Amino acid sequence: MLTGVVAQLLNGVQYGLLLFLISSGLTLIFGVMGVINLAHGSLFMIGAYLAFAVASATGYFWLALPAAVLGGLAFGAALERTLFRRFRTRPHLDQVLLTFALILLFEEARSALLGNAFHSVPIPAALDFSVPVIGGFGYSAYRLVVLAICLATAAAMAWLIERTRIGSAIRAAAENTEMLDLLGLDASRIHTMVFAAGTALAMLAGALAAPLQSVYPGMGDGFLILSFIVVVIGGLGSIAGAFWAALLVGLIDTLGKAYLPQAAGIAVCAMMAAVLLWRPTGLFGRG
Amino acid sequence: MIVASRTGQSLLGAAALAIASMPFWASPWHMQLASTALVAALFALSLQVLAGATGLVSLAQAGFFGLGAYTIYLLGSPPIWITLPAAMAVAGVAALLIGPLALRTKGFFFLMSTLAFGQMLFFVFHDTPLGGGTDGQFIQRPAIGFLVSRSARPMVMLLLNLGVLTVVYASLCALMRTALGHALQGIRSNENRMAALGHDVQRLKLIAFVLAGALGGLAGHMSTLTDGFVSPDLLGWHRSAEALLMILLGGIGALHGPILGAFALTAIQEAGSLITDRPKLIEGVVFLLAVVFLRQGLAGLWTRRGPGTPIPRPVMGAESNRDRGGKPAILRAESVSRRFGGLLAVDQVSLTLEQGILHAVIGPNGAGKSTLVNLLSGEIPLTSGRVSLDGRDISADPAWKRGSLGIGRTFQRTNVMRDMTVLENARLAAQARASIGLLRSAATDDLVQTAWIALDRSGLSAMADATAGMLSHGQARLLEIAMAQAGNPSVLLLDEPLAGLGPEESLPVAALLRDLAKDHAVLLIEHDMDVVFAVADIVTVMVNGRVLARGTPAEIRGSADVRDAYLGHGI
Repeated sequence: MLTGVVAQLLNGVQYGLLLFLISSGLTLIFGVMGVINLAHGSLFMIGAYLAFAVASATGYFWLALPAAVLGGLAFGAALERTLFRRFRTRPHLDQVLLTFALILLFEEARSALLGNAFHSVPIPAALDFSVPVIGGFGYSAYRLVVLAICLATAAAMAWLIERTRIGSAIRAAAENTEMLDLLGLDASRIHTMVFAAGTALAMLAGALAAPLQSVYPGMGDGFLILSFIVVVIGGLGSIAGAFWAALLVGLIDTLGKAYLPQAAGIAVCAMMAAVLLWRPTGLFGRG
Repeated sequence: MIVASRTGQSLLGAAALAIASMPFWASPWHMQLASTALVAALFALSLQVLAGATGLVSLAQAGFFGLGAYTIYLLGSPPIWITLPAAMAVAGVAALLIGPLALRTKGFFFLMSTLAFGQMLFFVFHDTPLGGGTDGQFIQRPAIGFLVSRSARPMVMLLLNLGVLTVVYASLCALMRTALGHALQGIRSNENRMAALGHDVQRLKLIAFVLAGALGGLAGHMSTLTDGFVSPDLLGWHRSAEALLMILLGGIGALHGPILGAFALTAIQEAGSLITDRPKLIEGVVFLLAVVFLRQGLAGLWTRRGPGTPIPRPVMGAESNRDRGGKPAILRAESVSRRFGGLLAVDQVSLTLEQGILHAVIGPNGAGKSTLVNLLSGEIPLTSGRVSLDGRDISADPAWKRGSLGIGRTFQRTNVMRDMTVLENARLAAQARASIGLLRSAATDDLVQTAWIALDRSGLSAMADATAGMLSHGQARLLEIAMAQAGNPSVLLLDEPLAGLGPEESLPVAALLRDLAKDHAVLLIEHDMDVVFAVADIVTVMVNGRVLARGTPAEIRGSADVRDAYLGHGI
């Protein structure tokens, strides 16, 4: 019983960290560019299918991770240059519809290229064993590695944003979109970089998640909703808020699904409602 | 929001007649298809109450649609005269519960939280046994009141759906002409200004949210009545997004836009599945092109937003605005302070505004003058101190409440409903304080008359039918003042009404200020010393958030302190 709880707690943390990879991109893209991207969940789905394609074509799952990051950077930059920059000043409704149209197109492209079947990606053989944790119970080594990769990514992001020049430009932009122009920074390059980074993070999360669950059409949808909830709870444009909120949502969703499956989805939404009642700008939001 | 012109309404009527005649010439399959489009139109129209009329983009709408649909299943298919009102009531109550929470947020957050609340409703039917499982249920369709044979069902449903859509559309056309409809459009245009005028914005938005929810439930009810099927997918957020697409496709600026969009979308989907085995691909490409290029939607292809329909000027009695009958108003601020982080922007300021007296506040930039106005009007909360109006403590009242109690204000930067006409702006200001029912026509003579009087007094009558966003800077400043006084306030807070005006423009405004002080308690923030010394009865000098001196213009002009601290040179 106790070991089960510990395992579920670890699962919750690991799930929450994956959620953080997705929602940090969502919150940065909105914070810096003022753009709502509903297709962010589809990018996660694309990352997972990419991992499936790479792993089944080459037999090396690990190749999928750099492929997801590099592919995500290129894909994100292309999307930003061709479409998203035109929508920065458009009303929210237009952004919603643009990105909804992208969801339809991404799903169709996926269906045309890889079909509509469910797939599973095997856990890489080198990590397909259990690591003894507290009290002699074993926990999947792959899951621990995912946990470590997510934490390392979060630490790298924190360093990048807090300690570097580009990071201070991003913070300035998240504070005030016009600030970049005032500071004489090249806003257009920063927008491309932020969008590319957000895309790469979502696709990396998809690739990492592929061996943990099945790869299937529409798999990004659940993650999209949860990462929206994370952003609302964490507060707009706040990376720290996204981090803690993602952990919270990951834990509640995982524990809920394990112990009270009928109420898990409702519980997460109810928690968001409670946060909205208490602090409409989110736990770490300004104002 | 454009309500279709007479020609447009005739075209819609002709289309309705064509649909009504389908039983004579169309196959049951075509009638079924038309029913699908009618239900889609009803659903998109329900969302237009929020998206187009109020400017709220909600992704929870499918949740209400699904609740309406499941009501039939949960009640066990009683006759339609029970299911129809029940579906609207269930969805409306859900909207009443969700609305106050979701409406605590704005913009992006509103979108996200409605998405999450919509999904919460989805989970209720997807994850629990309440709705009969994740795959959905075929249900016994309720009796429609008279004997309907199986073969006549498509025809009866077609006519019923057409009837419901017609009634809802006609009701919404009427609603757009009421005080409520105008107020919602004002919120879409400029929510903060509507609150400053004294409109209870939160309550109005909640009314729109609940109305939209109930109509969404009605659409879901008609959908299930037509198809005889419920499933959790009815509540999925993709359906909300699809309804938004219909609105965009048809035209967000027009009340009939969603109807055009729903028929266009149904046609695109049908055509797509006829010519290809990937209809979603066609759909996605069409949406992408529509959202990039078709800004005004189909309705925008043949209607242009000119200035609103000119409203004939009513025959007027005496200038009733001036006579308030009560005793002269007094606004009192006692030691009000406001801290922003480490900065004490306003520090222990006390002042009194009385009817008949023009009280000017001057001071260098950053002295806290605009913050003081925002504290008095309720735009920002006090850190400490007390504000009272006629002895009533209003320190804790929000901006709209103070507006409704009779505090009018202008903004330093022009802040009007830019896409509405000058007269409509003034009329919304008048409507905020006139205690007329929300469902009365917005064009009632007394409101229009009050608005006209305010425009007359500000010298803007000639521009009454111009769009507010098109005014020159000077005219926009006058509109600010006209709106502040159209609400018939007892106190006027004027934040740099002359900012940016040339000398020939400011003279008439200065005269207007003097005139306004006769029947209002006026606070004037102004940089132009010549104007201040010419029009003010009392001058308060603020420096660094504190009151440095107060007195008659002559005293202030003569004060050595003021000269040293502020006026400095040349006076």
